[in-house]
Amino acid sequence: MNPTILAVAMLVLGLAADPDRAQSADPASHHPGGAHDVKTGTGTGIVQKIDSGKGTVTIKHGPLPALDMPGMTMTFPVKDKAQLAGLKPLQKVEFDLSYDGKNFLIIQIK
Amino acid sequence: MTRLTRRRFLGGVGALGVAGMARLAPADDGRGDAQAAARAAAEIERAATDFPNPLRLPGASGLYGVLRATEVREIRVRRTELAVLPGIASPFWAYAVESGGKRFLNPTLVVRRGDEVRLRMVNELDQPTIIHWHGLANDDRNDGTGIYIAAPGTAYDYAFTVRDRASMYWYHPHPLHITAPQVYRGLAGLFFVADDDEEALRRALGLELGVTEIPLVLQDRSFDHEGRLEYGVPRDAMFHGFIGEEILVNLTARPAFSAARRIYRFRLLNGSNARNYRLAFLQGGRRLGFYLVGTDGGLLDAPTRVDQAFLTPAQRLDVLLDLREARADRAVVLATLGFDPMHNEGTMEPGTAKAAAASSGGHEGHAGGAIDGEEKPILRIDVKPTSGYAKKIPARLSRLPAPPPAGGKPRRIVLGHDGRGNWTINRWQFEMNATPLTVRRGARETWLIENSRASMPHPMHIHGFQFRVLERRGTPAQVRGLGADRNGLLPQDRGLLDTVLAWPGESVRIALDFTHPFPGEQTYMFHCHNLEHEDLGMMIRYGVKA
Repeated sequence: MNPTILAVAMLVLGLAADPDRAQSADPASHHPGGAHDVKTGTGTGIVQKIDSGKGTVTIKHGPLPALDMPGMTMTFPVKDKAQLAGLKPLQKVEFDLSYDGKNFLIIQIK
Repeated sequence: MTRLTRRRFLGGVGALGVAGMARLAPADDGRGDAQAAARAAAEIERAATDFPNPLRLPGASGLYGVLRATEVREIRVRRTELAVLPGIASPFWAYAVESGGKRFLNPTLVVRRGDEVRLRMVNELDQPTIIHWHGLANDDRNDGTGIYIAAPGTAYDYAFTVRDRASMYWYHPHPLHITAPQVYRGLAGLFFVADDDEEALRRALGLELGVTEIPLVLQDRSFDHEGRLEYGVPRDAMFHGFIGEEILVNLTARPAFSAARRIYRFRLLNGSNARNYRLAFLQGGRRLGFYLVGTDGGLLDAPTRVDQAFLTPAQRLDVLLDLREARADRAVVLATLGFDPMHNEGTMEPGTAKAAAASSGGHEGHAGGAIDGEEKPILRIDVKPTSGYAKKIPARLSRLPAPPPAGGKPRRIVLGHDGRGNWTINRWQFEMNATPLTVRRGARETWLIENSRASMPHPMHIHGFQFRVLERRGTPAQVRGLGADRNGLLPQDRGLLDTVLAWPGESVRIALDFTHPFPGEQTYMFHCHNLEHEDLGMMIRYGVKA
């Protein structure tokens, strides 16, 4: 699915920002067996919420052209939960995001 | 009984889907379900645990720095920058003052009743502006109604004697059609008036402005992905007004404040464009009691203990919170509790308000899908385990003037819309050259403000005079449940006001006394203080005949 359509669909369904659902998708999984190539992009945004337990961060981010995503607010799983330790709400961040055709994953955030 | 309306449910889904911040939970509407209310309160308290930013307070200079208004000679209205979010410079518009070698932005001006203020406003913006001294009973030339205006690059001189009771008033822009964006971008400051009663209360409780007497300016704002203030409201979304994603206090996002176990005085201003607040102090899943001691126009006769209160745009509340009643091992959280915002009540006419509502996302404000009525933490108050404070709240505070005696038939003021996306007052839309309402100097009038059932809440503000509320009828249950008396008056209706909220379907009877000391005829404004409504023309000129 087109990442933009997926992201919008997730927002409409309230899935993207639902921590329980975000956790139900294994934050570390890339689904490498899928038919899609893994795309990566770099974005900037403002941290809205950090859930260290679930390993997710909600970011109001700008456009991600490499992933064909417009700016929006979305919750992402983070590959390494330890990276969340230094984050604060409303902090400006840069992050590397991957998309394997099914799941988003933040590879690095600072 | 706990009620979760479809509108609130849908609003909650929107909030979660977009921001993932405020969980929607049933609110205790005064009918019970204490357990659900406690769960909701606990959830709000949890959401405040990561509030990282120290609350900005008025100090000796800088943002909100305290200045005697009698010493201010010039206020320059200018574009500048401010790190509203820590470390991120944002374009910001401010009232800038240089005094005593110090620089002030949006200074906190203090006067004593009877002081004379003489200052010049210099407009360095590229658009017209004017300062309105909100709540002060000035002559029209010194009111800042928008009839007198300073073009870009020009100045405007004010000279007035402060005749009003002690209270926390405020100042903000009032240019026709562009007030909302000017206030949003930063232009607003506080104006404190002191008198004998005020000083007696400060002495009795050992209060000090900025230390134990804390102004709290509540403003909801949205930020772009770079962390800069963001305001963009399409015409059809103005029908509801702007609702921001973050609730700032004194321009501090997600603020925290460290307090001792003693009495604090909080001077609350709803400086938001359109958001209403249902305020409560929470600790351990319960609402703490606090004392309402004053309203827009100063101190009440006596303190009234409450545990929640609505605050509508432009209104102020003066409250005392005794933190000796709180536990010292956990924070107290000032929050806005969930409520039905009633932004789309009753049957709207086809293709009009409904269409406007649909195109702006129901009752949501434009930016980011934030919604009015969602429960959110506002300020975390960390309570230090100190003791030794033994002062008591005085039983008497002031002598509130009696309401003007009702004279004759009430003047009907009907709030509605024209079916084309415009809010109206008696079917009038603002016209600068029309004065559709005239009163006689010295007249004592009763106005009956009737908000249509197919409407939304309208905070109605009158320039030039303060008033008393006599009666509310048709008040929604979620409001009536907050301690309304047999006339429907809420505790905060018992003081002098310059702004009153009329809910959809509600009628509010107010008493006004149009006595004034100024020569000649005066012309003022009466308008909705939902600033987008004001900019759309929900405002009329009214004249006071000599």
